[in-house]
Amino acid sequence: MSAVLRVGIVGAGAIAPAHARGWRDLGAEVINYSLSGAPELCAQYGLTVADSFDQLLDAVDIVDVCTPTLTHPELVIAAAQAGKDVVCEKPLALTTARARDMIEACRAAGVHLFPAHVVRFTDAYEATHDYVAGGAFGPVAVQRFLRSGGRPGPERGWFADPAQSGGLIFDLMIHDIDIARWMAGDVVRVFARDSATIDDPDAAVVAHVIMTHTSGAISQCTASWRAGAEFETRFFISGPGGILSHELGGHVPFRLQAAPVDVGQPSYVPDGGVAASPYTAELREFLAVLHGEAEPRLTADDGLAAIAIVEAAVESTRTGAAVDVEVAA
Amino acid sequence: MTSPVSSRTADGVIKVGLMSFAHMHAASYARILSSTPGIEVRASDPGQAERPDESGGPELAAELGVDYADSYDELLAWRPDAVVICSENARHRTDTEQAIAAGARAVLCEKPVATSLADADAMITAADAAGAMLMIAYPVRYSPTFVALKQAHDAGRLGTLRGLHGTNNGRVPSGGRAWFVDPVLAGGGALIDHIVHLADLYDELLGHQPAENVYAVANSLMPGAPVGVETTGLVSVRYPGGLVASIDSSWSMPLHGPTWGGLTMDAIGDAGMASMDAFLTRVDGYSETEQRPLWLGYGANLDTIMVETFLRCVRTGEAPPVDGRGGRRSLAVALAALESVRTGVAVDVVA
Repeated sequence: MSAVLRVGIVGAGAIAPAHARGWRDLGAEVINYSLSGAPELCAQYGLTVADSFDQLLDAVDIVDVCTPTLTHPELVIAAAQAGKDVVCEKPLALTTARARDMIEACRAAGVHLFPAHVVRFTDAYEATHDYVAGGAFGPVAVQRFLRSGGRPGPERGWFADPAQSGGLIFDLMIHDIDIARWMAGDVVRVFARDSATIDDPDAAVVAHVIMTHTSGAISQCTASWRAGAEFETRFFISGPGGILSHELGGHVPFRLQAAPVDVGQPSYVPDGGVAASPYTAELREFLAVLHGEAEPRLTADDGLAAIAIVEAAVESTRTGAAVDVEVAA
Repeated sequence: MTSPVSSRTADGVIKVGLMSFAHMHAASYARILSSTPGIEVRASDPGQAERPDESGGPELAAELGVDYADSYDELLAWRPDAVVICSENARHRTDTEQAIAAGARAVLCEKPVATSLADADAMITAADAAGAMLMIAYPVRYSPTFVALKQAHDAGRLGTLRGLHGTNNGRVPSGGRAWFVDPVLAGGGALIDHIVHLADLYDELLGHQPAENVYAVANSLMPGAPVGVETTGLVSVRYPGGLVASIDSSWSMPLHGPTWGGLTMDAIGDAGMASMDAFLTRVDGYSETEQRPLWLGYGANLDTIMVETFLRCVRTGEAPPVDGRGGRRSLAVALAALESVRTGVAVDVVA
């Protein structure tokens, strides 16, 4: 590893700017390879354009995969085989089988695979988990999560295509599924319903998932995509020891009423307001783990476990029956 | 349609009999009724003999300032025009039948209407046969937040509805009224107690289309209830057209929390989303004296609006906002959830 950390971001879509800013904050030298959008991203964040994925692999210590979900396995496995540590956006893959392939390739190559489940680094969830895991709260009995935002339209390309993104549960609700598991432990049973409106471009898409944990705790996640929706998150966790709850719209530490300014293209990534970037926090921890300075709060096995739950949920929406989940982690 | 009571009562006074203080809402209804002009109230709480350690009987009646009868027979011999039934859920049927048989022309019955569909059917039949009105007590129907949400939906501002997300949380009933955690008298725990409120709101919002399929999970991890009584519950409901609805009916509020619980709903449609919190009308604070958080509620008293609505229906003969059939539809969702928890599988709702 050279003195200056060299990172290669693959992909220049909606999530890449958050990673680019994070690596820049950490003092890394970043190059970018993407089928489209690389020159614009590089100009805006001071990155260098790579002409090919192989050129990127040759030039970096860490590969950060920010591409469409469907393409994650191939890129991660190639990076691992080139001996690079890998950061990969969530979900790791669209199937547990492919996620296992990725984990196995990284294990065989002796490199790290960090799944970027950024909500684990988002301050309200982190503070809640620290408190619950600290033991003062006691066991979780029941928890509820909600996450909703704008529906990706055709201008979002692959993201609007469930065959490439996995759809609402795979792409959006997986955040809260991971958090539910982080708070209350492994999941053994899943039931899910969805509005089955993904093929109607003008419709809202809504889904909910009910999970039973090994501990006996029960969780419900609700997610929705709707044209023009404001981004919204909520959670409510309850047990014999009390309750913990948070609502994004209900906790606004800074407000501004002023004439609107032109912000250019609307951002897909929720505006974190005055909070420190959870993306930077996530990349900082990955680096610390890489340097043996920290224990990871999540591993690729957690990413796999989340996919196993999502896979079961999607199956449940198709069959109408509850689905048992094999404990994956 | 029932005949207006006012045409039968020479002086226009409506006599209302309050049957049982088992449900603590009885005290609220008694206060509202006794402060309403043109209403005479008399209560009877014979069941208090079974719960001697709990408030009730002639002492509570005196405290509430209402007349008291020692038995239902004595109460009904007074010939009330209408009765308000606040007995244990499993006794709603016999109380309703007895009141109607004694000539009561209108019944306001606490939710859930009963603990079985057979009992609900018997109540509906008894009311129909006598031409009596049967109204079920769902106070959140009258919340300005629900009225606004329904108006937004009815005006098309949400577009086609695709999802409903509802929560009705409370405390594990402990200390006050033991029957709430008696599986026979209550018909279940958190599932029977709280699903029906949201199922009723969904029913009204969706134009009384019956729910099709229900899956539910529950546990007893919140302390304070006897073994085997569920204290949490998460429910998934499918309505016609593939609309997906969820209900968190858990008794998940801490015993020493700032409030008893609450009720929220989000309605998500193609064109918009409406979110209501029926009890957000409050001032937040903390009491150093009592060492606890304070929630000072304000705004509309839903019980008052509901009782006034009942009395208006009694006077005019208009149909109540929620009748026995409406009560039966929301009960069917709760019973399906209980069956789903028992069997572990999603179940079709019995129509």
